[in-house]
Amino acid sequence: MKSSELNLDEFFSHLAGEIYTVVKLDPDFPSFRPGSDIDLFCYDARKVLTKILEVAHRYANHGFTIRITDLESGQIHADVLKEDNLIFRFDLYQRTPAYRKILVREGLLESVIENCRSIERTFNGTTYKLYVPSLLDEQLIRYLEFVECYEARPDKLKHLEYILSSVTEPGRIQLLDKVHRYTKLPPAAPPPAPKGRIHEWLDRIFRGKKRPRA
Amino acid sequence: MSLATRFDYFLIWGNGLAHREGILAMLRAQPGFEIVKIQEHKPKGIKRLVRAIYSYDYAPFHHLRAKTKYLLKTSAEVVFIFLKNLQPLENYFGEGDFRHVECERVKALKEEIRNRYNERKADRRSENHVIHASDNESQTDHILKYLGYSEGTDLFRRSEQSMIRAPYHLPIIRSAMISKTPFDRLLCRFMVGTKESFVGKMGPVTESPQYKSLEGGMQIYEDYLRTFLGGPLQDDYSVARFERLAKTLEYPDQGGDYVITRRLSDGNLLILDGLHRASIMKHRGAAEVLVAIVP
Repeated sequence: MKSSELNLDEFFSHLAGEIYTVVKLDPDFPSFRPGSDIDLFCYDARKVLTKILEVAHRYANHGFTIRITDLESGQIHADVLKEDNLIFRFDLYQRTPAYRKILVREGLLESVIENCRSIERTFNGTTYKLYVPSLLDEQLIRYLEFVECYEARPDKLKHLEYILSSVTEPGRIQLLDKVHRYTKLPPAAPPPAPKGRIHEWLDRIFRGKKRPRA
Repeated sequence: MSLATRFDYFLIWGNGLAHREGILAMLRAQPGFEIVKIQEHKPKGIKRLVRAIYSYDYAPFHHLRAKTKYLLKTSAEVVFIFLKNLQPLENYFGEGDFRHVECERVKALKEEIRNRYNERKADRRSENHVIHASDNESQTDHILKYLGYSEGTDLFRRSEQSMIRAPYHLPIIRSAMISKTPFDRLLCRFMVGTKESFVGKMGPVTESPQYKSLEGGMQIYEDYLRTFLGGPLQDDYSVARFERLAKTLEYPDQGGDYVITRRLSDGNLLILDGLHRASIMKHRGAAEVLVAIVP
């Protein structure tokens, strides 16, 4: 079995009945580049993992290896590997992801799941529902991703392009409202306090620093 | 941690050990109970054990002293059976000093066992009980600590944090690789020797009593359990369960019950859990089996 024979529709059709939402769905889904991933928000990551593994067994029986990792922060990775190379990753979030540059309310994950919409897809002649965020939530998540990563990863510009191409004038206000509701800028670090004479003396005694010349 | 379940224990006193298999069969037959650990115990003195057991009891000690007098004449050898109570039905029982919370289902089963196995005098059930059972989980916690398990009932709960289904005696599984492995790379550990003097032996699955009994008859497995169950083997193994599993096993099942292994320095894999399932797969003629390899 070749790595290109990994069928994502097979996995997601098996998730029928589970509570999840695929965020930042690739427009080429179910096609994927080897080494890429898909992010799922869910209430019970272990339950979703079990369902993913039930499908993954078939691939494991044909030469693939499945690697599962609990990151202990409400995040689980289920990786499909072939000869030690990552073919695809299911990135399961049970808690709102933590961002460094922006503070995000814990309730975002729940809001995204509860407001999700479904896309009808077909696997093996049977229709199933794939759950994705509402347009507003998709824009919000992509905005967070853009803010977090654009300095280090220029490819994240695609998220900004997505927002600009999909947002409407009334939608812009709704997006700003939700951004304000669910995010906050982290507090700026206070400037270091000026040292008094006692600290200068202590530095001289314990660290051997010389007195600055006037 | 599930709030809907709790851990209880039953204790077979020395005067009930002859009925151990019958009592285990009654516990296994009861829906809503899942035996997690069977442990034989030889206390330094029966008096000390009785004190430990009843130190967390609700009843006044002078009452217990009279109630447990007969135990001082029983052999200083008992069996603890710890179980997960999947449907606790807690209620208040007794009056005054004796008022306490107890699970109705545990109480009913305890009485049923006593009715069947307590000594009979003048055609009536004596009160020399063959079995004792916990009223609440804190008593189970206390007894586990008495036996040297400092985690108490958390010992049984930690496996709930594992990513795949695993027995309580394995460390929490936070990562695993799942892949197909040929049987000639799989090793297992099993006991050899006598009840009093035994060692763990490592060898291929085909050398295990589990595999041998599938090939050569269940007497092999029955003898194995009779020798080691409650001692070095403390999971709830039984011939009937193994026979049933051999007939019905679908591997891997829907819940992800894997044969759990650890890689040895020579590259082979040692089975940590799932030897029964691996033996059945080998007996069915499989050349490879899906395993979870844990660090």
